[in-house]
Amino acid sequence: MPFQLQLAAAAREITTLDSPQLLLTLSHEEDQPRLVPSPSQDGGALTILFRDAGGAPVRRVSSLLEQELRTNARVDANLALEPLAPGQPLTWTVNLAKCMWPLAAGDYTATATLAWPGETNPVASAPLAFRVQPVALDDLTVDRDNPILDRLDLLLSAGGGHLWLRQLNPSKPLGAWYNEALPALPGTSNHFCAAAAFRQVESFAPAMHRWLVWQNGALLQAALFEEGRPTSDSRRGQLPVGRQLLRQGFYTAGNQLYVLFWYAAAGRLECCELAAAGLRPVAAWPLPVSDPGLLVVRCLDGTLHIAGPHEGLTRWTADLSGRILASTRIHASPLPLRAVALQPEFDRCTALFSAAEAPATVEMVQLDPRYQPEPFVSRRELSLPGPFPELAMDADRQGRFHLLITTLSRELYYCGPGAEPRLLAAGQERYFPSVLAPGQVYLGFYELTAGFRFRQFAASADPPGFLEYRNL
Amino acid sequence: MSETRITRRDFHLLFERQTTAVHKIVVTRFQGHRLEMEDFHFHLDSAVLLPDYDIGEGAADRITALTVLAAGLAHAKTNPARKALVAGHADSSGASDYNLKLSQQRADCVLACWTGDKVAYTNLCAVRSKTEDYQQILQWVHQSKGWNCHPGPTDNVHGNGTSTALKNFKTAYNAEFSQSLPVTGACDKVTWEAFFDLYNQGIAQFLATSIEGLAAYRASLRFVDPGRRTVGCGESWPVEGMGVDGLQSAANRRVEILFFDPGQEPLLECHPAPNQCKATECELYWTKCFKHTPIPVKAGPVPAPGEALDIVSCDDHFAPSAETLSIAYKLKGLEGKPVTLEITSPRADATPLFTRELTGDEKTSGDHTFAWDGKPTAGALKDLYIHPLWSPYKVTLRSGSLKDEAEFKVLYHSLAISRGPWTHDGQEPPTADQRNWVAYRLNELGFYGGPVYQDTEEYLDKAIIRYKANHKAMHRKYSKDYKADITPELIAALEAGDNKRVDIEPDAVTDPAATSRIWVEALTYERTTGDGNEFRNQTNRATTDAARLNRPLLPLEVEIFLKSKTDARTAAPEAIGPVRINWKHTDLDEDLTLLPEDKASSPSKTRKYVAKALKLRGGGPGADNCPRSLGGIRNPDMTHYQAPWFQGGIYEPYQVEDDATHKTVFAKACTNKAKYPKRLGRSGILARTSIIGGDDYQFRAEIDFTGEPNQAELEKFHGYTDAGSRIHVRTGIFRIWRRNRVAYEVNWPARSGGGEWDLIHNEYKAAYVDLDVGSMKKAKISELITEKQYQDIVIARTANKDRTKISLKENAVYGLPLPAQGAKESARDYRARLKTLTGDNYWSLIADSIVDALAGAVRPQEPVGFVVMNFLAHEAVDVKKVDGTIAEAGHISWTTSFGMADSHAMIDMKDPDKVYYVVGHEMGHNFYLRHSENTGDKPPGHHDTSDHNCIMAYSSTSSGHAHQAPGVFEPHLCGKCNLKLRGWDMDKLPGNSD
Repeated sequence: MPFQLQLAAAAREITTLDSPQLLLTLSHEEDQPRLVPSPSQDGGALTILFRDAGGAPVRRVSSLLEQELRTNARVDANLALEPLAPGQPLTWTVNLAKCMWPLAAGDYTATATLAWPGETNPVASAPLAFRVQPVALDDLTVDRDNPILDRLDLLLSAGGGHLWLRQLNPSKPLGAWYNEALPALPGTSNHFCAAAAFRQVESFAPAMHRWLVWQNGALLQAALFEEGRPTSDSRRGQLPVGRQLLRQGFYTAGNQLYVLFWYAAAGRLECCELAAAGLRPVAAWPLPVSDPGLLVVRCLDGTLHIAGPHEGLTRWTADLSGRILASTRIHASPLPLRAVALQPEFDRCTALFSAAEAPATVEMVQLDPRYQPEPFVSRRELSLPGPFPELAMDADRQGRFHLLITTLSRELYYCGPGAEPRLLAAGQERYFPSVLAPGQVYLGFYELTAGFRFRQFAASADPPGFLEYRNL
Repeated sequence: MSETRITRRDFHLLFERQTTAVHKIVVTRFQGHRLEMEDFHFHLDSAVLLPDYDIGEGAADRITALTVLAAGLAHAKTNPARKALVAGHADSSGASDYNLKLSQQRADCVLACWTGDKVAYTNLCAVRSKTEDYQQILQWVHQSKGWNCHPGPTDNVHGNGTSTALKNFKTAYNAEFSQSLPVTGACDKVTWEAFFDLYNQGIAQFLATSIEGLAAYRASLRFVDPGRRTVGCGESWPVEGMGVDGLQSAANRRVEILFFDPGQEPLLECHPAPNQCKATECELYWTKCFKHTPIPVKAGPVPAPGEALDIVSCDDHFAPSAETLSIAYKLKGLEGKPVTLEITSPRADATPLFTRELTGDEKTSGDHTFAWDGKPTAGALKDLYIHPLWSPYKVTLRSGSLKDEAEFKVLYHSLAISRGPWTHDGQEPPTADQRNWVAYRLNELGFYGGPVYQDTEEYLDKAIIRYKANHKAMHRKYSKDYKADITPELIAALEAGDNKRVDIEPDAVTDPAATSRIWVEALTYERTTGDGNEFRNQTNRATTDAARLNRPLLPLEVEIFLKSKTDARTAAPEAIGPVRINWKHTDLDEDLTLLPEDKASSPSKTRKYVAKALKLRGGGPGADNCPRSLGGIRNPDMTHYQAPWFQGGIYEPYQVEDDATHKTVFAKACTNKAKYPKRLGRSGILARTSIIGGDDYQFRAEIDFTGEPNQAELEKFHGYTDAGSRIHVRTGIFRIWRRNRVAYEVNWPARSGGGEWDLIHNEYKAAYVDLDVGSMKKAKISELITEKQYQDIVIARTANKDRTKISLKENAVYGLPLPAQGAKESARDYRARLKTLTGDNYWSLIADSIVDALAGAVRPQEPVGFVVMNFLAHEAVDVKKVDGTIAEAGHISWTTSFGMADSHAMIDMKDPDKVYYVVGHEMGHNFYLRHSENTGDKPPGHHDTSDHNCIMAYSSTSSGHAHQAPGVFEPHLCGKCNLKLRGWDMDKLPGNSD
């Protein structure tokens, strides 16, 4: 065997929220350089097969699957070869976050195999054993913004201040741009990510940056991360008295970081900049909202976009000098508002209303002027007993709503357009459901043994169900 | 109880039967059919058959020897399978040997007269005749022919009167028959021969035929034993006084002409030699063995002395209204007496169709010819023309007891088929009759507007919408908005003749060797908005086809021709009659070799799958059109013959009726001259085929006499022996083709190379979709949309709001500067981010609007047809490794070709697959074809699951079958796609070809 392939892992014991990072080393013992697949474009030459404790194959990943799980365009199967000199091993890292979702709890072995045209015998590594442990998810925040790419960042929190930052493409959230365990922040709370308040097209760098903000007692702290790895930029400030931290913030291209508070005594939204010197009040806007916890605030190019519960759902725009520029009632509903989402770059707003009384009713609204000037509205009476502790919803461009709900009996259901609720999971205290419906339908939820992942739901399959990309 | 049927002939056989059971043995008798020549047609001791027995005193109409002979010939002709035997009998008054011989000679004489054997007759007369024989014959000639040859009393004495009579007879005979017999007073051999000629003339007269016609009758005679055609039974089998010797009995003296059905013929072993009769061995007259049934004989007219009339000839057939019937007749001695010429038909009531009292000039003694135009003067056909259905007609010349008849016919010659008009007069309805005018115009323009005046199936509404969808001025991208209302815009377009197209190629209408196409639109997804978005909802093609497309209409008409006197094809529309024309169709077997071959370089199960599908629901040879249950109209049950026709009075003036017994529909020929002068003598029908590509039809019209009371005769006249021999005409083959076209090729930028269009054309052609790729226009993107339009789209649909950064580039879709690669950004991540930025976050968001903009530019010129746009995702960029070296120069991060609503296909030029595959695939989406196995879109039942080389599969993927590798396999539409394109309802098709 002229080639040797070694497989190693940064950690052999990980959790269901982690993504293994594998280190590969390829070498050969011949006298002359040999052409080998380039790690930058291997055309699927490298595959890594995972087997469970019983030796059964669980999934096989490759650079082709990586493409398939992260974008919708056709897979590029081109192979580039590069010379590998004798005695100069080629070493590279494979971040499995990009081409596979986290593994479920259990014991596994991974075997890497390299096979390419011109090389008769595939090169295989020795099996690498590792263990995946379950971890209880305490909290999950989801942030979506668009500084150059439309991105969805998940901040996953477990006990003891353990955090993971995972970035996904909302158009195909099956593989991640990255999924990193952040340095532990014991004793902290109210973690959230700030959203980009700008858009540029010159560089992808802003897509990799995220400000993480958290509360540490009376302090508000923040740190800038690049692909989930901490940078040297961090800030802290004293929390203002009597204000409710809204766990929402935004930052500019120049890294001016702003956080938002609700000042109940005055009934107003307040914005402060968290600068190196601490918190600095910027502006305040009186808002007639009934439940400030449901306020959603996004900033884009100096304009604040606010949506919240007022006469149903109302949307405001404001500037950073404290002026309300416009107020629009998007939808009036007799049902209480449960959740709101905003995408200011598209003027898109979705909202979910629900009532616990029987029959349990859900009203879903999407305003997306790209496709229709008036909101799409869907009201459904569900054949499930309310109230629903968790709800998540998204709608596609045709105004078809996809809903995930959990019941008091700890069951998770998917309610597709015109379809009866379909039971997806049971027995979990919380599922942290999330829905993305850019065309295909992706349902995200947490399970103790599987962690949190989005899965593609194929309503047209026979029978309808999740599409797996096990690639075995 | 068992039953055994035997005849007397089986008596010598042994039958074994169980002794403990009851058995029934039935003895059946053979059947004979008998004509009797009675005794008074012979003089005592003579063998000469007398033509008439009662000269001068008998009834005008009586049964004579000649009428019996004529009846025997008629019987033989109408019962050609029966075989004959002539048996002579005597009474027992003389010696038995004498009687035996005399009976044989009389039988021989009857046979000679019956079969026209002049020699045998004269030989017999030479040896066994008497003077009173020719005295009576001369009296008969005098009476029937009017010749001056009466010999005086029949006294058996050859005196002067007899001699004179013989001389006069010979003189008259020589004159009429152009002979030169010696005019003597003797009755010699030539005299008997002359008598024989007159016998023949008399028999022919009774048969209403000519001497030549008489020969035809005689040609049909068949005998039990051709070597022993007569038997003399002597006194063995008397009618009365059985066993009484010396009994004089006129009843016993007779000659019988007997007929027997096949298998019923008697054994003649009882006559081992001439003049021998072993009565004990006879089974013919053994009543326990044979039963004889009399054949009725009609009495014939016997003319008065000195008068004669004779129809010398009459046309066998003619074409009324186009020519006249010639009746040649000869009269003698009837001047001053009423002579009537009548035309009758057995189909008419008692009143003759035509009666004419001959004028003085017409009834002088001598030869005349009467020309009749065929127009009855009475009865149901009064003032019309006679027609073939009432054939045979009879012309009767009558004067007192004199009568002569001749038969003639009107015969069909042939049919000629043509495409019929939309209205009975071929004229457009008046514009004030708006609805029918629109239907007419739509039909004329090739849009199947439906039966004019009689639309029972809402043809018109569909046709209006299809017309609007195909019209530049009325086309709407969102056909959801189409209404079947008649607008001024529609009327103006129809008046102008806009959008005229060929609906059905004409050749096969008249040429049975031709194949013509019937065109049906190959619909693509049309509705693109909201819940009705067909492209996204992937509606069922067959259902949509049925809702939007009319079944093609082909008005067929046959012109019916008559036979002229010279058997030429003759148009005589007024003399056709209400003849029934059957309309039939044939479903021809499909030529499967037109489908893709299963080759190593191009694996295809298409042929196998289609072959299997064609046999579904009762399909197979001669019945492989798409069955009704799968979207077609073929109906495997007994009513299939009805499938491609409108029945009832939909196609004026023809009334199409159903004949379930014979499994055909038929329409009688139009006879209403006053109302439908242009349709007279024609039959028509409105064919409506399926809309399924590949279905084929061959139509046949035939003249059928079923239901006519004289069906058997009519069939005989026209030489019908079975249904296949009917007078018919058939069209060529009509095959359904779906059609569409490529209207535009839009370049963003232009593709280098090409040549794929023919391959695409051929791929769809295998599914009977004719995709016109020869008339497409080509344009750069900037020729169809402006930069401002483009910027507006990008700003409205994407997160990019800065107009200054957005430009319409000729060479790529992405209209902004590409982000530079970060120093620490890996090549794989940079590629992936470029892909997301320019794909998911850009092209996916603007593609709909780009299609809208393109449609806005293209559709006013090209309302229908594909718009195929070549494009590149973004401008090429170099990708670096993290060490700064170039990983890939000129990278374009993604390739995605796709089909869009409104017949748009977006073809990424970086797509590594063969262009024809990609274009064919994406166009397929607009033809309702869905992805196959190795894509994320795996709807059940849309593909042949055993065919891994369908165009509608992806060629490259990280999973699925390793097929369609570019440059390795040439993909083809799988069998299910093929049938879906034709219009079959794929939901009900089997899942695979195995």
